[in-house]
Amino acid sequence: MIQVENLTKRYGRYTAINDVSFEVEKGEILGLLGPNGAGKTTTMRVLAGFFPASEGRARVAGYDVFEEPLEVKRRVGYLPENPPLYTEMTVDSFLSFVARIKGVPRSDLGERLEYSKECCGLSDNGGRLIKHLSKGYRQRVGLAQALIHNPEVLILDEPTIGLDPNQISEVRELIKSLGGDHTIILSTHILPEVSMTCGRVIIINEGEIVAVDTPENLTRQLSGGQRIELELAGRVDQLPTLLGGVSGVQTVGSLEETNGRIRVWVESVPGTEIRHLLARTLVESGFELYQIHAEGRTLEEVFKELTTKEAAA
Amino acid sequence: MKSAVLIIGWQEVVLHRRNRWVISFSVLFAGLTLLVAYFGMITSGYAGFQDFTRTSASIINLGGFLIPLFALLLGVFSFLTHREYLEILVTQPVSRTRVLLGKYLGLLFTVVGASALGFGLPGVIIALTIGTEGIFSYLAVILYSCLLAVVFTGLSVLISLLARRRQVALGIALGVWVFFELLYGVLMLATTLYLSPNILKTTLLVGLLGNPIDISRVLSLLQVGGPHLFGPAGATLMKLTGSTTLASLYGLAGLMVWVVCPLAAAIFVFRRQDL
Repeated sequence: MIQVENLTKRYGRYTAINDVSFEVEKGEILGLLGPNGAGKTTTMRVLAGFFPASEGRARVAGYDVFEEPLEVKRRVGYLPENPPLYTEMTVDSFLSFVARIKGVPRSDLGERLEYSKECCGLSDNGGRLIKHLSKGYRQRVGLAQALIHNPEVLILDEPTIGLDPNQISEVRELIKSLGGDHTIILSTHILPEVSMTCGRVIIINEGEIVAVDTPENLTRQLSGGQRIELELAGRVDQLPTLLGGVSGVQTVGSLEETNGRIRVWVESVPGTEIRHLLARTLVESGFELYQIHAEGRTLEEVFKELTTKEAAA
Repeated sequence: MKSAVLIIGWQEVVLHRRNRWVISFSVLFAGLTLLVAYFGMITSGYAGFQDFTRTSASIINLGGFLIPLFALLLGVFSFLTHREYLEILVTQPVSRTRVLLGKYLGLLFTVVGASALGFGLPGVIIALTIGTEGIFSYLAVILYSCLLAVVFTGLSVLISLLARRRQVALGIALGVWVFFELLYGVLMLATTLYLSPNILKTTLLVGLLGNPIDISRVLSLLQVGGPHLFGPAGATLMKLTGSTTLASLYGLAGLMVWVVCPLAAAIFVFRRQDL
């Protein structure tokens, strides 16, 4: 549904995104994850037709973003980071205005208006002036305007920014429910948002893509194996050799002995589960096992590592 | 489907409908026009409404002074106070040219409407008080003032797009206004002092086209019929063309250039601009 090839955007001498390439399948929810200033908004703005790229190509729903921008815009609903709304208008009049610009036929206007309001929890707010709405409700209006023409693609820039926890949860549920019918790209710097809503994630830093995968795979592949902490009692001198001999153990950490209890950690080969092997080996060798605890790294740690490495380089 | 230009344009009008600046300008303009119409002959010992011909001659300078300033300021405020609205408009399936034309038309309707109201209400009062004699002169002055509003609305859009920041744009807008109202005349006068008589006329004519306020003023005076009020450029224009009609066509053509060029330049800039 979306193909991005070698996209670069420069503002004068500053390169906001550099040689970015990725694809998004129909019905997929893709998360663009990165720290502030990473290039997420620039990427989304290029795809939404807000401004052209300096280099590269992008196609949305089969149309070239730069050669056929109007065809692309007809198929895209865009929610900017701070949705600019005509605050002196009511929700209904604003949504009607946007629908007419987007070319929604007059005969479908009422139905589309009701659908987008219902989707975004605005059914009871149609007559209210936008300036009287809370930040959360304004965000919903922004989302409703992006949905009003039933676009194939939704581009949502930081859709939950500024919302309270309940509103965040509602918007995430809404986005998840829209996936499948719509192809969605959302940007965020909130990691749980990606894990909860996206099927795939692109980590972007300083204008370049540093990782692409599902949140689970990304965590697994980049975490460098599981770190397992053990607490046990027995003969210390045998322990490093014994643990090192267990299949799947990559590293054995230093030992600490306190009051007859030994604490030690081991790291497994990435993608392997070794806790049951460790437990069996230790018990069969006469050790008393008090605790075995796996510490997988979170997406947050992976993200931090990737973006810090990039920054350091 | 209704044209996107009209939808955006009407939206601009709706936004400005309750704008305090627009209402204040209309009231101020109408009030000043009434004052000029009533007290215009006070130095001759006469107080009371003059007929339309005399009122027209009196209000030409008022329009030439206030309308450009109003158009420039409203244009800058409209484009740069609500610049974020552009973000939502340019991501709609509407070309940038249409977005700009829509906003321009909405702004134009507001400026011209407020100016016409500022002239029109006193006109109704004068007509009811002393009759309609000379009303065509008055209508002509309104028409040329509205054309002046069109010119300066286009300039305000261009200035807003080039300056991007409101304070900078306001500074430039005020500079443009001062230049055309005050400095241009002084510069022309200084230039003519050093010119030989054989190129003086040409310079005056070209110089007239260089200032839309002067063009509008000369066009209005042609209609009011006061050759002694023309000034050197207007007098030369009349002498060269030989008729009011030809002189008016020459002036109108000049104003049209001033209408089209800033707008075309604004479209050119907006189509290529990173917002």
